[in-house]
Amino acid sequence: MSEIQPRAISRKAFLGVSAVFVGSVAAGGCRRGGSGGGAAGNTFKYALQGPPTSFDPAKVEDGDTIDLLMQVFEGLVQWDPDSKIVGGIAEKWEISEDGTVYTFQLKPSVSFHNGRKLTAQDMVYSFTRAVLPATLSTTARTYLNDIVGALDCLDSKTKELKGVKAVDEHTLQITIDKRRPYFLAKLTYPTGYAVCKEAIEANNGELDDKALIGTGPFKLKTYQAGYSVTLAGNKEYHGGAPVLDGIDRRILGDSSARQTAYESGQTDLTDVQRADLARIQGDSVLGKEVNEFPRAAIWYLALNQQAFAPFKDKRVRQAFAHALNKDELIKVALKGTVQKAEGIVPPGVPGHNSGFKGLGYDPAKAKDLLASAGFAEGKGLPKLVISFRNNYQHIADGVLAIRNDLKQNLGIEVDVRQMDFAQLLRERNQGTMPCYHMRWAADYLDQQNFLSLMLRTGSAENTIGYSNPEFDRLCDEADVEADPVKRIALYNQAEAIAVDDAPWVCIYFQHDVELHKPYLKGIRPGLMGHLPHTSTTVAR
Amino acid sequence: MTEITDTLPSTKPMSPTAEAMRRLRRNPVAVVSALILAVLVVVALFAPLIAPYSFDAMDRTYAVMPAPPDAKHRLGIDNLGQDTFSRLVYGARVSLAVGVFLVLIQVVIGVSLGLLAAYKRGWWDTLLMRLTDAMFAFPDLLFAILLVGIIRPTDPKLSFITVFVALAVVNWPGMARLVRGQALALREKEFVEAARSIGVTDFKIVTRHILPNMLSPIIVAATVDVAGMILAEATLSFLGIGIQPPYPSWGRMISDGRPYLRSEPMLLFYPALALGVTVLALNFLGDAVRDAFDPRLRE
Amino acid sequence: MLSALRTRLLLAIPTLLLVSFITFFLGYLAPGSPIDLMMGQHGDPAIRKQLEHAYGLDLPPLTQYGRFVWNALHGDLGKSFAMANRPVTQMIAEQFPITAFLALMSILIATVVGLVAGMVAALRHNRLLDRATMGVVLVSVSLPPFVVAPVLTVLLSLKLDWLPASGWEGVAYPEYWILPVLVLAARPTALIARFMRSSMLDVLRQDYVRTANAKGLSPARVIAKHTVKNAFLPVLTVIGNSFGYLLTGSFVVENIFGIPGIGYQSVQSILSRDYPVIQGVALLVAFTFIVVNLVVDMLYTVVDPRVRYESSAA
Repeated sequence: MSEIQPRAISRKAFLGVSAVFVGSVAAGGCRRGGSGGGAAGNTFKYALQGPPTSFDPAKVEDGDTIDLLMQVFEGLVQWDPDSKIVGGIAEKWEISEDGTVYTFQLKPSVSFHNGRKLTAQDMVYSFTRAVLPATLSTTARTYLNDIVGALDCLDSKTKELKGVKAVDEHTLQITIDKRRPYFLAKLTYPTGYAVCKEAIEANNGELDDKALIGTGPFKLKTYQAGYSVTLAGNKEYHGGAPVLDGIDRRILGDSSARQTAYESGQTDLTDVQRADLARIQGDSVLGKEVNEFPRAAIWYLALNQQAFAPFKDKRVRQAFAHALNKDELIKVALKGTVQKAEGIVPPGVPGHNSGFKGLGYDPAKAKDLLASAGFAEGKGLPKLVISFRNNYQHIADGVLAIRNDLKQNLGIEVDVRQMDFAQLLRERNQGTMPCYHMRWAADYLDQQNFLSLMLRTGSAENTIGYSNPEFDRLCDEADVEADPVKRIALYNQAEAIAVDDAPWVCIYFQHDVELHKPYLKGIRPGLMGHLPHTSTTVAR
Repeated sequence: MTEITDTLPSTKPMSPTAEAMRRLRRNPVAVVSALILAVLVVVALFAPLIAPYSFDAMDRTYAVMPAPPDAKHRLGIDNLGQDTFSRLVYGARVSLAVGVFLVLIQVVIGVSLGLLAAYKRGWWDTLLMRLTDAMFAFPDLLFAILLVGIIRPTDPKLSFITVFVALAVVNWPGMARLVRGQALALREKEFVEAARSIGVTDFKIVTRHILPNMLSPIIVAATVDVAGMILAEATLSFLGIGIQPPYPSWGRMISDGRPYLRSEPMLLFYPALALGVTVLALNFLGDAVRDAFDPRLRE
Repeated sequence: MLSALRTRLLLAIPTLLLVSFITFFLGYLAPGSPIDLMMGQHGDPAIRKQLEHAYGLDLPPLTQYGRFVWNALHGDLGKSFAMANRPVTQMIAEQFPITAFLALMSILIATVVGLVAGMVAALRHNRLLDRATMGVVLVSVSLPPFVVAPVLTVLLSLKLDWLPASGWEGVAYPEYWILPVLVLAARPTALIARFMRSSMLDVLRQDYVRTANAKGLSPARVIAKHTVKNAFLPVLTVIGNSFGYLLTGSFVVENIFGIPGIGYQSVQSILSRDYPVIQGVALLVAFTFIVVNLVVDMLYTVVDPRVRYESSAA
């Protein structure tokens, strides 16, 4: 390519381009001189990764928007930093002997942003609204389905939610169908947040930015579509006014743009691209601002027996599990910032089995298993395609590492196929993809959410044809077991069976990596994302 | 080098093409550009022989990846341990193929439809203009993205075809418009009218008189388009819907390298350089060809 | 001329219908739907049915399309599936002006720079200045915006601290939009420069220019009076066409610079199968494009009275 050099113009032109690149190398450690946004005062600034998908707690599903709405709304109960359930709107609660009736005492000091006091009747309204078909909640069926009468409402049979009653002004009673030790955990999700009846009714029944009135520590200040959402501290908050005056959420869809915004002082916190991590860690300033948080999510490789007959043979599945070098994948695709998964239930979820060892990296054993299944060196195995979600480089890198392992260790040449998330979800739910790399993130912190829900025979979420009667029996027993210790032990047994059966190859438990400015203090990390910013401070 | 083209001695008469080729050979810009493109074509055709590794071979012997150049990997390796030089070589295949094939398709469709519309007029013209109107007015990226979603085959190897089809469908109307416009102007020219008056057939008028006279704008547009198509493929790759991994195109390599801009900028620089040089060479060559064939520059 | 204008506007109707029809069916055929994203991995077919019914996605496709057209004729483009139920018309009203502003500024810069560069190059044909100008112009388009933009941001925002890294504070704050505008303008500038150069060269060799030169008119006068105006004509079309590129070019550029225009959302809308938004954006871009080209054709007749309106309107 140096042939072009003799020409004066081209050389000049190319020098210009290279200067830019050389400049960018040199730019490494430089950034704006501290001051940045003095006008912002006590306002916490961090970017949203896309426009809010919904302002309705009954509809919201993505973590980014939930992180926004949980500042504004609250539910009866919430997570604390140790992933224990503590009161939100509810001060305390009692559970009946048979585990089906929950009686909540609401804090009398809770009021909506419009000044009106919250009563038990508001909770009845909020729950009922969430399960009425007209609300079009996609999450009610997951989180509120246990409440007596919820399914009847969802199926348009009635408009009255029988299982939720206001006993008096500050006493709420919820009845569920049977003992479900994880029910309280489900109530932490936005579907169970208290919403403001008069605001919604004044807005033609819609809960959007014009009816965004909750009881949480922050209230909506401005919403500029596509650009930003700003929140102001709620001075009347029943838990004490938040330290912050407000929160500014600029919408920045591009990850590089978010990184630049952080480094130029426009934001106080940002997510980090794994690809950029080495530079950040090596930087004398940024390196000290890196924070890593575990999340209740597992990334796995699904081996679908329904769509790929050879996966019906346990030995083929186990061969895949033994052939994958998870450590290497974590190194190249995630720069080491996640935790290798031995089992299915992530650390932090009550009952996580920390001493458990799953199917480890063992190429020789993998080869033997594949050969004993009749596919020595991958011969005779039909063409296999691994699907995954597009637009995330670390996912693609992980899949390419898997592809490489399968080729080297088992002699199997697989193709990879990235697709839009909508298509990936559809094909996953239809059970038509033979093999895919995906994530399961907890709906609520309970083993049931990972084991019974995802892998039990007949569960709507199990679309990969996995079925083991012993696993099913243990799950069924654990699902209704009242004794927490016994319950955990039962799930652990079930988990061990599922890992050995290898319907999934468990690869890693997700960690999120963030940069926090040194003056950003008091962030309360949680397994499901940050907790509301009640104690967060920015002392610039 | 500047005065060469303007002071050609024209002692003995030559055929226009031979004359043009002679002028082209004496234009250093054209020669260098042509050489570069020739080298690239050879590289693309013989990629497996030239590349020291396969495009998807992962060298796992490095503790830190991406890694800078060394004796084993002359341009270094990317974050997965894949040899950058090998990927560039294979990437030339994809990127050049995308550019050249697409423009060929565009020229063939554009020239035939454009000439048809300009020459037949009437409802041919109306139909073509409405269709190109719609296609033109359509946000091309939107269209391509939608198309890619639909025609994406289950076999990822065929993702090439998806990209070809999507970009071809989106981009032919430009050429058709250009050709039609030129043809409309030319058909009113005296020499065409003269030919028509002495009973030369339409086909002959079009092929002998109109087509040769619109060659220069077509070439200029086509060279811009080859570059444009290579960049369009890069944009699709940037949006995650271009050539599928692990197959490399320069566009894909650029978008894969973008997050490493500030730590390992060479991952972005090499494919960007390859892309830039190719685009430049194409454009310079296009201009030179245009000048060489221009009859008015000949005296 | 007025009747020609009317014909032209009437012709825009089938064009827009065609655009919306194609968009609708491309969206309809694309695998996966907004419902899939709403449901996540909780894919109970019964819930799917219920949701599809609620959003009218269970109707036969032609009925859905008919409904869309009917509502669109009444000024209702539907509500976004993926963005908080926002009415599409409202999104467009809020966000399109920003995209349009960026496009206008870019086309302005591209036209001025492109014309001057093209003229200079043509007048110094094959000399150093020609090569230099065209070289710079070409280098600036040989890299995609998503390479140029982050490199410039790192350089100008982080290293030199001249401009904010990203954002949009309104038209009154050029430090926020100058970079995106420049990045957007690169390709049209190059196109215009090349066509202008090419066109100028043609004109310079026309008989009337030679005659003017021979008559002893000053070179400056010849260029101003006879050359530029005539050379400009074919370039007008390029300028008009560039506008379309700018509208879609904003897809990537707005995303990188965090600008709340319509562009960024369009790509997201496709990924999230947000049909009403896709439809709205397609129609809007198509409509803008038609109007811009109508204006360009009108300008033709103004710049060159010899061009009968009808011939360019066909």
